[in-house]
Amino acid sequence: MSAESQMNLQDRSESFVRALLDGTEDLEGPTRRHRLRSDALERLETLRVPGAKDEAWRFLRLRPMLDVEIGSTPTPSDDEVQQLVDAKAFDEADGRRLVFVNGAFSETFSSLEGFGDDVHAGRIAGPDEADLESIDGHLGSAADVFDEDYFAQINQAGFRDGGYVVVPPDTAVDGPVQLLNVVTGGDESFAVQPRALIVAGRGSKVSVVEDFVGADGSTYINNCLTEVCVEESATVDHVVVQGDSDRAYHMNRRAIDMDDGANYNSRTISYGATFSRFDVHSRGDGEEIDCTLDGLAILSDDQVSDTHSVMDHRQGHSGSHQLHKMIIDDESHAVFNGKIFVQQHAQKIDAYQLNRTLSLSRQAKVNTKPQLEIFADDVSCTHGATIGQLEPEQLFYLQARGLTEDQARELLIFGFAAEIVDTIPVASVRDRITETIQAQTRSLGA
Amino acid sequence: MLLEIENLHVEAEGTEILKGIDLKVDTGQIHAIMGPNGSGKSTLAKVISGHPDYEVTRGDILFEGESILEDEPDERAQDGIFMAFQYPVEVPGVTNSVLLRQAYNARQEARGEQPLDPLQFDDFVREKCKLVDMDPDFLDRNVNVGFSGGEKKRNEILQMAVLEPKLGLLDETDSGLDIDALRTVADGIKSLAGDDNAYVMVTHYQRVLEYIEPNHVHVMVGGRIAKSGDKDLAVTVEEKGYDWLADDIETTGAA
Repeated sequence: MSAESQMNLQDRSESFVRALLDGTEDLEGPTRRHRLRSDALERLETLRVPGAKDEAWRFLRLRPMLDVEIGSTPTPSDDEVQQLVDAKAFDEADGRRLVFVNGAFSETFSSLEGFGDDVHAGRIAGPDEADLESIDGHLGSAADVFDEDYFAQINQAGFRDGGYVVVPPDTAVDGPVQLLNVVTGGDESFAVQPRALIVAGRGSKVSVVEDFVGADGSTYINNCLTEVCVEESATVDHVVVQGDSDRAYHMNRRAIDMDDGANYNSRTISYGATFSRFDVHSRGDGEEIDCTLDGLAILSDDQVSDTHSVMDHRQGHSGSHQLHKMIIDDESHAVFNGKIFVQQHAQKIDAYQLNRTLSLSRQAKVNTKPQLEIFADDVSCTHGATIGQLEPEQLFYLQARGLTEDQARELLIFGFAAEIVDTIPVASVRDRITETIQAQTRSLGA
Repeated sequence: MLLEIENLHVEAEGTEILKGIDLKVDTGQIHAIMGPNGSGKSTLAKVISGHPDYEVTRGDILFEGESILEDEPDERAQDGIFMAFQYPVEVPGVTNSVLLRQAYNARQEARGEQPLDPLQFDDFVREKCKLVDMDPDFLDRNVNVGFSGGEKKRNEILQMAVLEPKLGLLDETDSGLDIDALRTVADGIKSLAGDDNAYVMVTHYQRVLEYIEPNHVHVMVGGRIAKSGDKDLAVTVEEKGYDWLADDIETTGAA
């Protein structure tokens, strides 16, 4: 056994942090990132890596991720990147695509000409970083809900670049925006820290597709943080697709701030990575907000995926909807913990939450905990969880129509997923994910 | 002979439900199977279509002269057997048109014929919708999800119209239908019935038989066919109930 593997968890996590922050120690210049970094470093002094004793992490083993030897981030060839970009880039976002390759902004693959004059969009850490007034007051603001979150703080302290989209008031962005995070590398493992900021100004509207894609076989840690500010009466459609490398570790934090009348509509689709953890925190700090946090996780082999979400209703007359579905096969393990808070003066809240798991294997594991914490008295909240297998009666019905057992199984698994996929608002992304999921379900439950 | 059932004994969870059924159905015929609850008439339809909950312990089912007992439900469907379910199953996330097209093309492929692409199929299936007076919007809805009882039954007939079976088994397709829906469903079945196919209607009530006239009526009691006859038998059953047949079967059983 090497000295490395004998290290205790705390030592290991310190070297993990050092490795993720490597190369950003001498961050100078623009005060914005510098300030985020120094605040985060200060918090990290008192934070420790979460372990089995932390309620929110007790079903996960972080050790394999912490044990990843983090080397230097490779620079892949354009050909290699091109393949991954081609697989994920969709026509509707041509001209509104920000591409990051191993965490670094790519001039070659990005196209920004379709944003028009009004919309501010680009990279956070570009040459004009000091002059990016549009993101002032926004970058780092929604993320304060993650002040105690170890991985969020590592991102705050060490992200090298990221994408931002700031939509001015009463403006509708012409078409969807794509934030495409491509990761690919050689034999060495490494870490990247994507960052994104979406701001929809008062009465504006934008649709964003955040894609994470990796080359299978690459081992890396993807420690992402995304902030979404939905200002008064603005609408944000947000699709997040996690299709990282089969050997990747995907850590995803997302903070959403909602003002009066804000509308945030999201679908999170997760099928990649050996390990993924999503923390989604939506802060409803206005009346008449409407928030949808739907999700789908498809797991096979020994994949682990955990979604922890918080819907915090702080003001009344609002609604939220969360349908989170999980398909587990082989020896995979899915975790869901969804909290809905309804604060004391947040009356007339209509909150719905349902977690449904389709289990295709006796060896697969699921832990689910839908949670309501209601401090107001005039609310309508429902929550629940179901875990089931394919219904024999449904299989028979389809077989009696001439479908083979495999075809019937495939159709039913896909049907289970389709309830989420069919609501993706961008047609070509919906089609792409339909295909991906059909390919996935073909091999499931066999 | 299209369908020959010989001395069929069937068990479910150790209980014998069918206790020796003999039945012959030929093309061009419409049969009605009547009987009280628990007589085994629905079981018979399910066993013919290959439901996995039932075990055939004795006897045989021949379809076009060959035993189908070892065949999977999908193989039987591809051979041309179709059962309209008493309780059509909801399939969330799968649209009617996707299921219909996949089922149609599975059959086409099994017969070595060309599958239809989505556009061709759309034209084809829209014609079929007219047959059962179904709004084509139903094609985009998830299979049976949120359908009313009558819509579910009509949907079964639509599937049957698309798959054009040689043998259609209608398991209480008439139950729970109002008079309009019953007429629509009956008209649908009548328009499908022809010289090269056959229909077996499992039913509780005689009223559907006013719309679709059967050539043969069988009455099942206690897992056996107690009496067979022509359409007048259905009228007798309607008037006299089933009790007289139960007595009958006990006497013959004792003989």
